[in-house]
Amino acid sequence: MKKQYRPTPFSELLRRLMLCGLVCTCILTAVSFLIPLISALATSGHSPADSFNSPTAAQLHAILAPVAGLTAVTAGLALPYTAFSWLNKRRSSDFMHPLPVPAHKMFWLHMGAVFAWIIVIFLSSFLAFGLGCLLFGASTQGFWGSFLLQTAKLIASAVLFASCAAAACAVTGTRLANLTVTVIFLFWPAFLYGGFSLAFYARAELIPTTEATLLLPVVHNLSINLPGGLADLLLGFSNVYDSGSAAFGWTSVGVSLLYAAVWVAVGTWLYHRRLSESAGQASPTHLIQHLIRCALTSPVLLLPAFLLAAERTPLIEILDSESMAALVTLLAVTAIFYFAYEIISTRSFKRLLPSAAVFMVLPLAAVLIGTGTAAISDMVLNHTPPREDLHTVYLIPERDQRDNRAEYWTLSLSRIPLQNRELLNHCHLALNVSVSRVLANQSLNQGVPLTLSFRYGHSSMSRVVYFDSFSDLYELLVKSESALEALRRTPSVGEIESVSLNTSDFILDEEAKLAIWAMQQKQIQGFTATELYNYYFTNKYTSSNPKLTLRGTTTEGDVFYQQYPLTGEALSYYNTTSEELTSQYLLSLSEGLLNGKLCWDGYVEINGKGFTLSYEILYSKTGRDEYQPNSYSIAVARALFNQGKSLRRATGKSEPHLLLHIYHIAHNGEDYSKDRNMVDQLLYLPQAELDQLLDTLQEKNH
Amino acid sequence: MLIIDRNTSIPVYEQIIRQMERLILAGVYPPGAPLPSVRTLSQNLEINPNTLQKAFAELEMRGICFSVTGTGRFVAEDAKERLRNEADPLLAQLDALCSRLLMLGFDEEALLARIRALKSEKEADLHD
Amino acid sequence: MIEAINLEKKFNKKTALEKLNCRIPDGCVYGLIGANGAGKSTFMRLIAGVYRPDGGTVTLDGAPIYNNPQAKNQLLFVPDDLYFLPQANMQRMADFYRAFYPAFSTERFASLTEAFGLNPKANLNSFSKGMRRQAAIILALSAMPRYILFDETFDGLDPVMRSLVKRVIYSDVEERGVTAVISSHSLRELEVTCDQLALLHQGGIVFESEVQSLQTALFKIQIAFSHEFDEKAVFHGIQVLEITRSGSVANAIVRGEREQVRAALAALSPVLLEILPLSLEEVFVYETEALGYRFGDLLQ
Repeated sequence: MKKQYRPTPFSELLRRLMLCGLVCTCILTAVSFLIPLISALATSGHSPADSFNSPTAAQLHAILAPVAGLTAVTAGLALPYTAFSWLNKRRSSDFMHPLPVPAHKMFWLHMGAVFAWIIVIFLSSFLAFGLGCLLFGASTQGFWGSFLLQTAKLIASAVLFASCAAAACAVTGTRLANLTVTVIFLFWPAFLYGGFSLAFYARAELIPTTEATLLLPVVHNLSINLPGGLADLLLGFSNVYDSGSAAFGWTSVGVSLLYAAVWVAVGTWLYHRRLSESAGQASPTHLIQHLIRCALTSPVLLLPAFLLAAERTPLIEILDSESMAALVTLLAVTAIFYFAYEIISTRSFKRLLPSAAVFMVLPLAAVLIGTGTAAISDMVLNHTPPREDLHTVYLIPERDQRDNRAEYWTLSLSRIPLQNRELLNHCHLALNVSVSRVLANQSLNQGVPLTLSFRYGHSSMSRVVYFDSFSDLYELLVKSESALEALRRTPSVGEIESVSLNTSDFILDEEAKLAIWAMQQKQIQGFTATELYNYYFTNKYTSSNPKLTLRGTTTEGDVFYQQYPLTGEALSYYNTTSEELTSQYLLSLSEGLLNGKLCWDGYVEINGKGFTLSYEILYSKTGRDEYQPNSYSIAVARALFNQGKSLRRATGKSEPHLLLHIYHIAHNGEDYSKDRNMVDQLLYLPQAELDQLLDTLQEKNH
Repeated sequence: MLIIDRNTSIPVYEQIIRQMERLILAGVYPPGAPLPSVRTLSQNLEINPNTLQKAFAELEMRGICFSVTGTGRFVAEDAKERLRNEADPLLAQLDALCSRLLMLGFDEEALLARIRALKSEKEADLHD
Repeated sequence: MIEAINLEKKFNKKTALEKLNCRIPDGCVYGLIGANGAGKSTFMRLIAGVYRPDGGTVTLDGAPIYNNPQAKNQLLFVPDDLYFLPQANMQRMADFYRAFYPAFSTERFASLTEAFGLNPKANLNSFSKGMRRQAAIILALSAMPRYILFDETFDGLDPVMRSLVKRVIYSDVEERGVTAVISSHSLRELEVTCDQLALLHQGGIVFESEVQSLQTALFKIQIAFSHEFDEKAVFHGIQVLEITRSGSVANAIVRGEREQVRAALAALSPVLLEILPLSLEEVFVYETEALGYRFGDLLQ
């Protein structure tokens, strides 16, 4: 064994990190394997009726993710600190420096060993979790892609943390300074840049954040993203497997690795310049110590600077007594941290005087950065094209933040270049009005915003524009033939993923809904300009008519939804069909209930004028997988039966109604998973029949 | 056979030269015999090999020994004669000293006895 | 050859080495003597490539040493405060050295470890101070470097170990032309071991010389005549550092070629003419006085 082991510098460094690396690997791997195991053990005692409750791999991973994320941060810091700990003591530094390896290679050997262990840790976790899920029966459908992404994100985060930590170790010589500079490298540039960008957008207000390309470098930065995501996960928010954000995820891996590469380069340069005698000193030169102190404490002053810049707070308000008191307090807090760091890191009071002189830089810098941000933001906002140069306007659809979904009509319209001169002038005017209101710090509350893309010459500019009323705009819009074409466009069958009705949805099956949709679609295609205007831009139909909601993805790849009120032929067809189907459905439902073929679990709520009766759990479970319809259900079934024969639906919700909340319908002893339905059926009963039903129920109650 | 005394202030280098001279004169290293290798001597006596080299180089310079490249150093044929010749100044000194001593009242027998005593001491040294 | 030309090194505004000039030839045992703080350790670390010079150069065969792996490959430095990898034993350290110094000899490591009676598997924390020192020496010697630097290493070894190490060093010097640089407080120690010496004081080299020439260049002469004599006249034409007279005997510290001086003086027919060697310490005293220092100050 000894003969075979050929030590190389790299293998020695791997050995050096073995304790730290193995501990992290073992803990995370154990957790990764145990989660699916414990879940399987926990659910093994349950009936097959509950098997649909056994967690999928994706759900189990939501438990693993915070642990893995924490490991990424911990290992990402612990490994490089262990690897470079020798830089902090004279003895070890004097021992390592004369080794015959060029400085840059030595640094890369260390980084290589750190990265190797990071990969081992997360690869091992990946395999353990995957194996665990496969062995213990957690469903892995559709899981592997996002699991791979998540693992890649963890590795990239750890690598980024490690790169910053290594660069910090290369320049400083005590543990405290290592940590401080690591934090500065990780967060300060992102803070500065992110603060500037957010303040820029907040102040400008009209620059759409969907175009917030400025923020992308921060958004994709996993050293910000991951801790934020950890917090989210812990608080139960985000779903990392959302298909919309999957592509987003790989970008953040690439961007973070790019940052890591930059920090490795910085670290290499710093290490190359490092002198062995820097060991044990917080900072190798006075200048660097000044930089560290300033960088560390500047956010306390920069944050209010950015906030003030974002808010368009007039100088007078800032200088009033309350704000000034707050600012002075912040200044004092900054000073305390500033001098505290100096004393703690160098353990001496010698340099307090020179550092006091440098302290003045901080408030100055905060003021400069704050005013600079404000000036840049205003400058960019103020730049609007002259009216004559404006030749086209595009409507930019508003997309939902989470799933990127937009209304179909906006998507359709967004592809049309709008070049009607009146329309352009109208939009231009609205833009200028919006800009001047923002710059004058007046409220924009009057009006509703639209995001428009202005094309002038060869350039384009997107802005959120406030219109005092949309009716003017829309009237102009429907004057354009191409706009009308776009409004007549509706999703094709291939683009539609789901169709739902806002009423009695369960009654109609997919085919029926699509049939109704086909009718509505045909009508829309024949709409005149006025009809289109009324259909899309007024609530003539939307408030009272039943609505079809379509969701899907266009052939161009845009995710859409749209509510289409039923009108004309489609509406009448719907009314007839749904009444018929509802009766049929209630009939079969009540027959089934009466015959004992169906049983339900839920409650019946009867609302009348001034009363509510609610009956819960209308079934009896007489044993495992055995259900007995009970007397209440029989009674209600009878009422339904009768009702099913002659259904009359009243309009308006104040009428007495019968609300059936059936959320478990199962066959006796049959496959339960098939007939799971949540049925929310509102039946409006005429008073007399309601009274009859009530009597029946009250009888049975006793 | 070479003995180095580290407690005197006589440098090691000189001690080596003196001892080699003594051994050559005593016939321990006859003419043509190889001198001990620097390596062995350095290890046995715990002496800096450069010091040994310098000592031997001095001997070589004085013609007491010669080196054959690749083979080593050997005692010169006329080593003893040369050494004895080097003794001329010593003899001159001896004359001066003896005349002084004789003048002081020592007779030649006493002087001779002293010389004999010295010789037996030296011989005893050699056999150690 | 290691050469330092106008070498300078400062730490936080304090100068450790100032315009240091020194030449260490190949294949010799070079001694550095000086008081604490004279700069011995700093100089050795500059040679080893631990520190970067602030001014001047320190080169190995003409190439600067700092951050030069070709040069550092041939050098090994044994400091006075030792460092080992955490929780390591000698075997682990040997592996570490083997990784970085391809010439590392496992045979020598094994034989030296055995000769010193050390257990290569035992944790170095369990070793006594002396044993740790021995371990460091073994590791350095086993790496088979061309230049090996011992910073006050021998001061803590017992005589048996010291003699063992010296034998190895001598063997390397003789066989492979290795250069050993040894620093010490003790002149006695260096006198016997080294063939070159340099005296460091306040960051500079006061003088450097071959040990042998130091020992032979100065000597003491005792001379007496049967008549009255003026000692200054007697030593006319001879380079004399000091003359003292007690009664009819004059003692002089003379620099020159021994036999020439002897012949010159013998020609004057003295009744007493003795040439006595000086101890190296005495030589140092006179040499440094001649340069304007007091030797006692230099070594305190």
